[in-house]
Amino acid sequence: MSLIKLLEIEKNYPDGLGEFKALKKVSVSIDSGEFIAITGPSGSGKSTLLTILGVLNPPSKGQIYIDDIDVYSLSGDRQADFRQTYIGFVFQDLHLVPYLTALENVLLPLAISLYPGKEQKKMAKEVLNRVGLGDKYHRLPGKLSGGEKSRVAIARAIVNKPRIILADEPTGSLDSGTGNEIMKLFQSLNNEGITVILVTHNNENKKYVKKNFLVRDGLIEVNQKWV
Amino acid sequence: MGLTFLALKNIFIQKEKSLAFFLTISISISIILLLLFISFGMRNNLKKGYGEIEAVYTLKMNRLKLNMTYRGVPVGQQEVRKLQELPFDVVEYFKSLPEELKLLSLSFRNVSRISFNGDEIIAVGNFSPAGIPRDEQFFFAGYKLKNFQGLKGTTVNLPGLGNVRIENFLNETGTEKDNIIYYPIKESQKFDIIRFTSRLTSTQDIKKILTAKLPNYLSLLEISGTSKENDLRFSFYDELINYFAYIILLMIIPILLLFNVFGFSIIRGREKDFAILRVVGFKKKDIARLVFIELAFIGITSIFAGILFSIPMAFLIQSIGILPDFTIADIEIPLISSISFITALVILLLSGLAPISRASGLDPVAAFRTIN
Repeated sequence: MSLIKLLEIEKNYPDGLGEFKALKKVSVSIDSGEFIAITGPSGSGKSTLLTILGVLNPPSKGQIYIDDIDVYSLSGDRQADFRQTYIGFVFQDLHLVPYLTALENVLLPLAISLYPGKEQKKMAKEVLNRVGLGDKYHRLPGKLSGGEKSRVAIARAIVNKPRIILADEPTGSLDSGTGNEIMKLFQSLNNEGITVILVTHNNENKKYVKKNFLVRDGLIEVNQKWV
Repeated sequence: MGLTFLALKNIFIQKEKSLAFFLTISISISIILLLLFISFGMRNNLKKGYGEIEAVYTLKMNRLKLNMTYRGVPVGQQEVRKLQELPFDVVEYFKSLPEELKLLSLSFRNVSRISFNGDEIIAVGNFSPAGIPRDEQFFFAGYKLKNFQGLKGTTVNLPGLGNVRIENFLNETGTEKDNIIYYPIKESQKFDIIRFTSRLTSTQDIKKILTAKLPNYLSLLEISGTSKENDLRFSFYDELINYFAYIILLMIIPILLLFNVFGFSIIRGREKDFAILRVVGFKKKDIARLVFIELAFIGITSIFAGILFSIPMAFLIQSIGILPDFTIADIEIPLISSISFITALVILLLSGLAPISRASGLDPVAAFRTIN
């Protein structure tokens, strides 16, 4: 059953006096538990697609259903609730808050939750343990290696137990070995049933993903195998 | 971890900005409050001290028109043009007043005298209420009656007046004594000028005392202060107080701007942080709450600090004696402080609206794009 359905999605950006069409009538479905790599040349619309999937960037036309919910018809507050419940983000630059410790960074999504403080900490520690940072709760991002920072970002993305993880070039700034470790982490999360969608240029990630969306000139070519 | 923790952490992390915000606001509040204290302190002190200041006043009393008769025959009206023409002793009158009111001088104009059928009528006389209905005891003109010699102290029946007690004998030179009778009138015009000094606080107070002791046939027309040095002194302080008021008013605008500038400064450069928070599920109102807590925490503590700092400063100014007319004892510090606190809080809230709305209104995608 499709978890995500994109129906004739268009995204236009103003470009001088005209418009630049980043996505042109894109229609795809993503099933629950898939592991998808969005690839394509720079400026092809990969990140746009990811932000649209992340309920951060409304399309110019078309509809997106996630779990049968027309997400962009929701109010701003409901969209925020939706993101908190359904989606975990991992950015290429990770965007960790530099003055918050690893634990506090992971606690961020819980700061507005109804969980009591102790429960929040328990959940955050659990996911940090899960990503292998059980001994670095109180390290600031500046004191962590690149791979560890990525793990914190992943921990922050999964602390709310989302059904979808969206990652933008998660291994882009990592060496090959660390990149593989991170991809394995995504793979293990995917094995637990989480749908993982990542934008990547890294061919080494081929072995982890189950499906490839090749974005080119605003159109998507769905490949069952990344070739 | 809640929003408050996050807000406090943000304040701590941006400690240079936070400290600058805190110090600027607290010092500004402190200066404003100190000016308010000085302003109120000096005003109160001046009010008290004004009792010691001798101001010279000019008093104008009603000049009256007299209805006159000659041997029982109405002869028309005559204007009384000097206070001496009244049955009213100004010197005695002022003696009866509290010592704060001291008679300085009297100035009269246009002594009036009319001759009629060989008898001279002067509008002079003492008050003689006997036989005159109470509501008509307004003022009395007098006859100079040559034939009434020896009647002083007796009551005579006069046409149109009934029984009138002959009270006194006066003439304009003071050498002859003539019989005078009085006749009630009800019209009035401007009267003569009396100059006196007062150590009372206000013309209202003076007016009250003067009218309380004034015979009912006289009324006060006008009191105006014309004192010299003391008035100038008061006027100087009054100007000074007004000047402070201007300063305070003018400082509200910079304070508003300061709050605003600092409000923006604590969100500046944090677009990425806010974008992250939006991405992880923070609603716009959560961001607004976060920034509000930060602004409110620094704002309220700085306002408090400003108020707390201004009080010992006020005592210090008093003890050093830079301002001789400044005493802190009568200033209602809690009231002024509370009003200032509330005012500053309102300014804080108003000026915080723009940065709060800016932070919460950030488009996370645009913020990331800008940063990347």
